[in-house]
Amino acid sequence: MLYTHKRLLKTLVGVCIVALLSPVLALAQDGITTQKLREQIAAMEKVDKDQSTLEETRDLNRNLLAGKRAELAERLTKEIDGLQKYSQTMESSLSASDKEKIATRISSLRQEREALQRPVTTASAVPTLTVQPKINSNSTATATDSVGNTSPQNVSNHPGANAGASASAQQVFVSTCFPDAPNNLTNTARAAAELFVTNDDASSQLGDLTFYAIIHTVATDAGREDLLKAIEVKQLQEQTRRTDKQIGAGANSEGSTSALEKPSFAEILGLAVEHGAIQQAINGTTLNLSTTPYLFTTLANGDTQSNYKKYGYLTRLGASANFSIQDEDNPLASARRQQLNNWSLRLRLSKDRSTRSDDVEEIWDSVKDDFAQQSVVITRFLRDTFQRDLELETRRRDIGDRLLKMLDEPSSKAIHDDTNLTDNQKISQIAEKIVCRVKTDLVDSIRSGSFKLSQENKDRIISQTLPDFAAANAAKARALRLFDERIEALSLKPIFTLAYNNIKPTIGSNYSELKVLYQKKMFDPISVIANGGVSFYHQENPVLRQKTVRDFSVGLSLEGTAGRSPFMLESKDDSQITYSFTGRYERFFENQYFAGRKADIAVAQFKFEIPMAAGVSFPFSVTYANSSELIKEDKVRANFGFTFDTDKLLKALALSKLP
Amino acid sequence: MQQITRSIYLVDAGEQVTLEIEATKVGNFTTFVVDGQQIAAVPGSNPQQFQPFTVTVGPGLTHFGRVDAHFPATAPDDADYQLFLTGSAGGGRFTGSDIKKGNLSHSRGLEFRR
Repeated sequence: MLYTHKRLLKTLVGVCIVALLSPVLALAQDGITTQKLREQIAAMEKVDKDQSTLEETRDLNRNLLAGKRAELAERLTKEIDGLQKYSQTMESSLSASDKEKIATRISSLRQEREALQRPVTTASAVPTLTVQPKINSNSTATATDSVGNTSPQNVSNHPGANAGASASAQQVFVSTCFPDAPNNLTNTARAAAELFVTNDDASSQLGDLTFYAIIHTVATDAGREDLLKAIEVKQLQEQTRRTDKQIGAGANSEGSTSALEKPSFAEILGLAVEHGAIQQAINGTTLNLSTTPYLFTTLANGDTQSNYKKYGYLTRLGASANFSIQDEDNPLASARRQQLNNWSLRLRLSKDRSTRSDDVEEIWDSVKDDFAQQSVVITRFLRDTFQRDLELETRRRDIGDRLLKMLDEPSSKAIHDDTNLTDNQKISQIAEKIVCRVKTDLVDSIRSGSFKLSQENKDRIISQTLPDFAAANAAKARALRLFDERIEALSLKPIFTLAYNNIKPTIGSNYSELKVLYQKKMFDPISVIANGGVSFYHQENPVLRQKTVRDFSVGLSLEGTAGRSPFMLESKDDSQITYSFTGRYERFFENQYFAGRKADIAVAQFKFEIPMAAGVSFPFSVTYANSSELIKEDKVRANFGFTFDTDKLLKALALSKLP
Repeated sequence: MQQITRSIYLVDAGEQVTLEIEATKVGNFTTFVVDGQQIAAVPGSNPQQFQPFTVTVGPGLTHFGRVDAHFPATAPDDADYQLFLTGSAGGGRFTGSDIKKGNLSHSRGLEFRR
């Protein structure tokens, strides 16, 4: 009886070994042997490293090499899985020496796999093959950039994109170990890599990586690629920058290139240096500084939304000062009382229509449910898959921990700390490691059965998760479109501002000006700006026949945008070329008493402003006036200058720090 | 509550978890979802606070959260959202991940593990 039991046990052990190693055996019989594959890879790597290899040949070789390396990595994964299963199943029957041999073999295979997953490094080779956006998951990748690609490639075909990936920074790459990885997985890997490279938290992307890897694998294996293709997300697009801020000096300032004043003003600090003159008889060079009291609240509290809710009303108030510039090389040195030409106060009468206003938060409340649908589907999937299966959840955590541990390894830290790499190159290399790890730990494990997804889970992914996710993507795109449209509608509402200007002209008496400024966007990209005002002398000079009321004036301007400036080399900066046609009429009362002067002064102006660099633009205007205030003489004058917008300069500084 | 990473937390049964998001140079355009359920923001809260959710999963299991943020085109490029998490069972107020306008992804997953 005992003999029978022992024989039965030996037979069972034998069956187990054959069954557990069957994937390895099957692989070995599938075409070439694993050893042969290793030899082919070594030969291809030799060709890749050979300096005499033609570039075309190298590209072709590199593509084939990537496929071979991926194939070998897959075989190694299956062999590792087989040995692990064998080790677990036979644990009680194995001696310590046998266990050590198996552990050594697994360790050796893992090291070999890690080496395969490491980027190919040759004199001209790069770890990641950065390619043009894929048309479909089966297309062959073509390497287009052999230095890791630092120039951002904006892509629009980002199917199933991770929820908030910013369009301007997306880049598609093909992993060497997972060439057919879906874009949403590689994009999420890049997002995680970016967080690692910038010392942020890569673990925040584990859920998305798990989601995209599982749905892709299950759908592909079920022959339902159609469901994957149905998942598309509208890319977020940068819109035109605001062009309704008054940065330069007002129309009456010496050297101003503006015939009318705009009702909005720089929120933090506007600095304008302009050269030229419009209505004044004297040419001048002016420096204009403007701000709002809100600035001072941000110094203590930061410019948070909480602070804005408390003190945002202060943005209704604006103050600016205009100085004569003596030292053009250092214009800010002229910001002294002696050089003060004029100063002004503004009060915005209309409601806040910025994107931080209560009105815009109300708009957000109306679309946020649709916006959140992607997260609803992803977290529901994670709940349904892992909250009901403790074993699977344990496996998920192990996989996540392994991935995070990989980022702690010296090879990852070396990439992180490599000062010869740009951030973009670091992101590509780390993303490659993440994709490879996801491939082996999730995709391959699902296919080998070691990551046990129940049939119920698989059916739910096909019948519910994928259709829901496609619908969620559409809902999010719809929410963002609606949000943008309603913000646009808000921007069409008029802005009214009351302005007080205190003017100290170089020639003549000081006076104050009270104006109402109006701006309304008619339709994209045309806005109408209107000014109307009256001015008063501080102290009339009877000799000059001055009375309390100096003049009144009205003006009307049509302003538009003509697309992005061709001089903006920084690809993320969307600063626009602006143009305007302006007419202005002024009744200058005292002139009626002097020969050689005109009381009725009319001005027509065409002005355009071209952004030249971040925060710096070049305004140019051609003006016809039937008279100046001092001389009855028709004139056509061209004016030009440079303006500096510190809001934009600060933005540009922040942009330059982005990968 | 204990913080494992800025996105992974250890929580106790019955503990109430609260998320706050501080927006800088941008409005409160965020959503928070846990296990497929959208969590409502507390009206008028500053910084924006979401209603607490209660830990109900058994030992070894996880509640899955996800935050989505949006940046309008007119938001400055250095605008960001900072996450803060607090558990009713103590541990303090933890600083979570942040979401910058320039980040490749404007979504952050959160795990609340038992």
